[in-house]
Amino acid sequence: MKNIVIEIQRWSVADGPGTRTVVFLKGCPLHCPWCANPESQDRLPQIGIFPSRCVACHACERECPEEVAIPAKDGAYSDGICIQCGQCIKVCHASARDWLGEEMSATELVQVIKKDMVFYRNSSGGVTFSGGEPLTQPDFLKAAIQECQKLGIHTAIETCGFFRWEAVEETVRRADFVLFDIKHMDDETHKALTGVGNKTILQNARSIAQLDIPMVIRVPVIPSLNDSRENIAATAKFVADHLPGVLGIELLPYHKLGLSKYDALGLDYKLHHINSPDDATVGMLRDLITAEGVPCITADSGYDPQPIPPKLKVVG
Amino acid sequence: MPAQEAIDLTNDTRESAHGLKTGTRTQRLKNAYLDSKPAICMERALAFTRSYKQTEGQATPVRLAKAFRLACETITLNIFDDELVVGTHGSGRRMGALVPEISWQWLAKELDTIQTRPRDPYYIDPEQERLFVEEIIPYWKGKSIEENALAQFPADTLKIGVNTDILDTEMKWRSHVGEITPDFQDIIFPKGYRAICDEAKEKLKTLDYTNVDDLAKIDYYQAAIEACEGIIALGQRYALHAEELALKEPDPARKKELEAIAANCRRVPEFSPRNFWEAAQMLWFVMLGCFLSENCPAFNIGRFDMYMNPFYQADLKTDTINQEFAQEIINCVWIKIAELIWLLPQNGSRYYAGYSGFTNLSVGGRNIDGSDAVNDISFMAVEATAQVALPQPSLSVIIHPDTPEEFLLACCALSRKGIGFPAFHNDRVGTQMMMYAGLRPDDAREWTLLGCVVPHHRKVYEWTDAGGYNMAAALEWTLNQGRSRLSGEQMGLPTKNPREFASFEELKETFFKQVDHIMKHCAVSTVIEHRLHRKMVHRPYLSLLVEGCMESGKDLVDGGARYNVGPGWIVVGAADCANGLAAIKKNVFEEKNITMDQLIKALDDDFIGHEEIQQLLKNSPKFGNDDDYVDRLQVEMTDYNDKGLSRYKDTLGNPFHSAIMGLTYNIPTGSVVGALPCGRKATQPLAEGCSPHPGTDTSGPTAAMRSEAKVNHELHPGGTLLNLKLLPSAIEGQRGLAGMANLIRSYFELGGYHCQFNVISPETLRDAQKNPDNYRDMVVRVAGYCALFNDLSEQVQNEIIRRTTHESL
Ligand code: SF4
Ligand code: SF4
Repeated sequence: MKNIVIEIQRWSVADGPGTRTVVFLKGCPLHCPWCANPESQDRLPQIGIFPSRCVACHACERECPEEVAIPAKDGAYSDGICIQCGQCIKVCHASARDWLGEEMSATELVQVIKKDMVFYRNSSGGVTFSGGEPLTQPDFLKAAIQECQKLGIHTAIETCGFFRWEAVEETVRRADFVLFDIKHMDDETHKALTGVGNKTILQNARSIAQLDIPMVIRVPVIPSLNDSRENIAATAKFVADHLPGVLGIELLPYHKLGLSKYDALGLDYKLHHINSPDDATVGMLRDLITAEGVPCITADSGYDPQPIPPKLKVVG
Repeated sequence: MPAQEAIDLTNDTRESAHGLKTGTRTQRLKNAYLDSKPAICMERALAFTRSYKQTEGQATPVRLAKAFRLACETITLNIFDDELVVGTHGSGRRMGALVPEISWQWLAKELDTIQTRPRDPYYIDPEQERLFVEEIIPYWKGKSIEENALAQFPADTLKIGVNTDILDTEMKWRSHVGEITPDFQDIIFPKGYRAICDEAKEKLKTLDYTNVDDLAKIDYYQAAIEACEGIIALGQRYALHAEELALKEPDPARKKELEAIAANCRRVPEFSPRNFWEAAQMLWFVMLGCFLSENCPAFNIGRFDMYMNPFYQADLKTDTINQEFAQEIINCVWIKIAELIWLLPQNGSRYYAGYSGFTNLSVGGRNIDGSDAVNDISFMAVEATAQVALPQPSLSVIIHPDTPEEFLLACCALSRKGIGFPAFHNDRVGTQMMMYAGLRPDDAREWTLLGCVVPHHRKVYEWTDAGGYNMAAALEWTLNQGRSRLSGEQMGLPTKNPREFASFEELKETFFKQVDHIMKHCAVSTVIEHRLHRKMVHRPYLSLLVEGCMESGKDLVDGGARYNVGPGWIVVGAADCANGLAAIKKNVFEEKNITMDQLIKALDDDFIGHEEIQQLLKNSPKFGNDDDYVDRLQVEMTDYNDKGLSRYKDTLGNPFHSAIMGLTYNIPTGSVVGALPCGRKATQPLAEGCSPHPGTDTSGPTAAMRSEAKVNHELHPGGTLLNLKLLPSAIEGQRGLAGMANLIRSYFELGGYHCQFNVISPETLRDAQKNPDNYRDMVVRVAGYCALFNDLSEQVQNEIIRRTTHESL
């Protein structure tokens, strides 16, 4: 059983407890315009184009059986249809055209994950499966989680929450930690923003909360789209009322760092006009959450119920 | 009774004769430091010249000691406003002393340009310039180490080893050795120079001129006595000067301070310090003595927390000090250390940018009984670097499994400020390095840092940096029959046409032969210099500071120290060779993507017109990404630096050893090497120390660390170095700090030796946006991937800068 892994990011301190390796899997049922990993949305492998690396050697042009490839610098394709045969990638020494994602078995994946074992052990960290939506391939994910756990590696799932509970329950039950995204509390708005409504998502959140697995709710803060006081307060209230045992809410301020990837995919980025929220706004939203009695997860708090050491007096 | 109790500690802004003082004492001293211009001082050179004229015919160690004494007796005294710890080794605040017995020719040649040279210019006063030309030069003609070394080097060593950037031999004929750690614990603090002097006198009494074996010892002890009298005189002169200033001082608070300073200088360095402030002043006199003796890159402060803490705790108990005042004293010492200057000619300043040498100061680590050594002073040292924030001292911390977490986190918090300090070192590996160098395990445990990353010990004499060589040149020669690709000159061995190598193994063997060729000249130059140092530049003052010399009656240069360790040679460009060899192995021999002929043509043309080949090479495995294919080669390169060098011995019979640090060596050495098979273009910098080649470790810090940990660090008692770049956003908040601490602990568990973090500032990023060519190598990690900063669109770059700026650390 194989799945497409876009990227294995080693060393993250912001995706679950301790030091983590984050595995980005391909395929997502939602299509959020702010997505920082647009290459993760499609299930299938895609060709990424990196014009700045192109040395204009024209090898792609020579090798393409469909005669559509042109140097990445010049736009990568002429008119005509690319059959995704990968010939051009093979001959592009500059990596100006490259597959986004690589097919891997769970065992192959764990070979990479386990490399940073010593870093996990020293920080109570582990692996976080993200995406895309890792639960689009529950069996693959279950296998990967099982292999990790055999080695004593702590496993976390970051999910958008949109799945058929029956299909994924067994996989989710095995995870050691869940990061669960809630994008909007209003069903209509949620649908407008992401392409799907939020009913299934909220129901799934309730189901996971029953499982006694440490869970953090993550809310991306996208100015003008979901950062209203009402929405954040409603989210916090939902968590307080329906998700007992959740560790807290983590706000993820919007950023545009994924923009280069849109370029690489030739996709349109729709949020050029939106800027990142300022610290004051984020702080105010956090206050709304704590007012509901829900803790905020921040860079200073960590994910772990075990508190990390107190603020230092020495070097402020 | 120490006088500090009477001083108003809270009165930071007060009225004085000089007008309103603003800011804290530390800020004011720092501003004065920043306002002062580095200058050349001839006072020490004049004292040496005048003394030497008086002592013709006497034994060399005695002559050197008398010259040192005269310098102590005549050097200008400076006590600057606000200082609590006083003394300069030149006529002003930031002075570099010319040392004619080592080298003066360079200054004669560079007199016209030294004030205007692009890197590290120096002011020189016209009167000082006149004395240099009229009095100093005429006396020292033919008498310097430089002239003697150059006259004695064989022609082929001269050709490859002087001003070539292939072999930098000048370290020990242009500068003194330095490179000792004064033994504060067992010698200086418990005894004071009066007792040391008396000891020498006692020893002298037991010796007999009619006994041939005693003659050299007689010279040694006579020299020791002169050196002690010199440094004692300097202390007493300062005491008098401070008393005079106190009498004139209108500000009562400062008057009290000056009186206390005077009392301190009456006591130390002649006698043992009795309290923290005296100990700090003593430390400073000891260092002044070092810098009056030698102009060199590295004198070492050693385990500051270990030997200062007992004074601090005793003063706290008697209520004669409080934490704030002790912190002020420490900050004052830090600023004094920053003032020290290592005077360098134009060529040297290309290797070592910045005026300062490397005055290393270590905290943390273990005690000789194996227990953890962190104490209050360890924390205050970290705090001092945060408050003073100047390029020196080089703050090093030694970390072991039992290092308190709060101390490691405090160090990480300092590092995250982006000033590059502290350097983190692995106690276990440092101890093993010292044992490989010949120390007993218990002594080894109390090791300290010297220079940038060299493990050292106060009971050791060695040349930690005998020079550096360019390993990438050997790879170039292998692929060009011993000729430089840029100049065409035959520099290496005339080996086989590379197109005829039957296998990768044959190519690699040839490469190691070219390395051997360089190493031989390393050894030749060092042995000649070693012998000259033993004949011409004994170290009477420094020998007082290292155990074994007094006992044996032997100077450091003659092996008087308890431990003698052979010279270390620094290899530069190891990773470029590993990457280059990996690329050849893969593309020419295994996958046959290109032929050797194509490769060589591409290198000859600096890849112009061969961009495809360059990309192929660039995308081949690179050290620093946890890829065994190339990491194994890096291990082979670095192992060879030990294997090849340890075949040679110095004049005391000790084997040479390996160092892989490099400082800014990677820039000049890169400038003479043509295009390399790793895809690097001609004249670009090489890899730094043991680190991956800049911009090629794109798999994140854990992968870089795992690669780096594969190197057998224990084989390199000259130190190894890993610099990592991080964006502040990756280490935000408490969890970021914990993440850094985890990186360090895990790397050390894997067997790494040193790491230092370069936290990229928004200014750097903005500069990179404006001058992309200067930052071709800058990798940033954003949103789950690593990218070259230059590859990112302006909008994403701006986003990164914004995040870097707003992150409140
Ligand atoms: S993937 Fe195949 S069809 Fe598409 S551009 Fe490349 S070579 Fe041509
Ligand atoms: S093969 Fe790659 S580098 Fe060459 S022209 Fe095509 S995209 Fe550019």
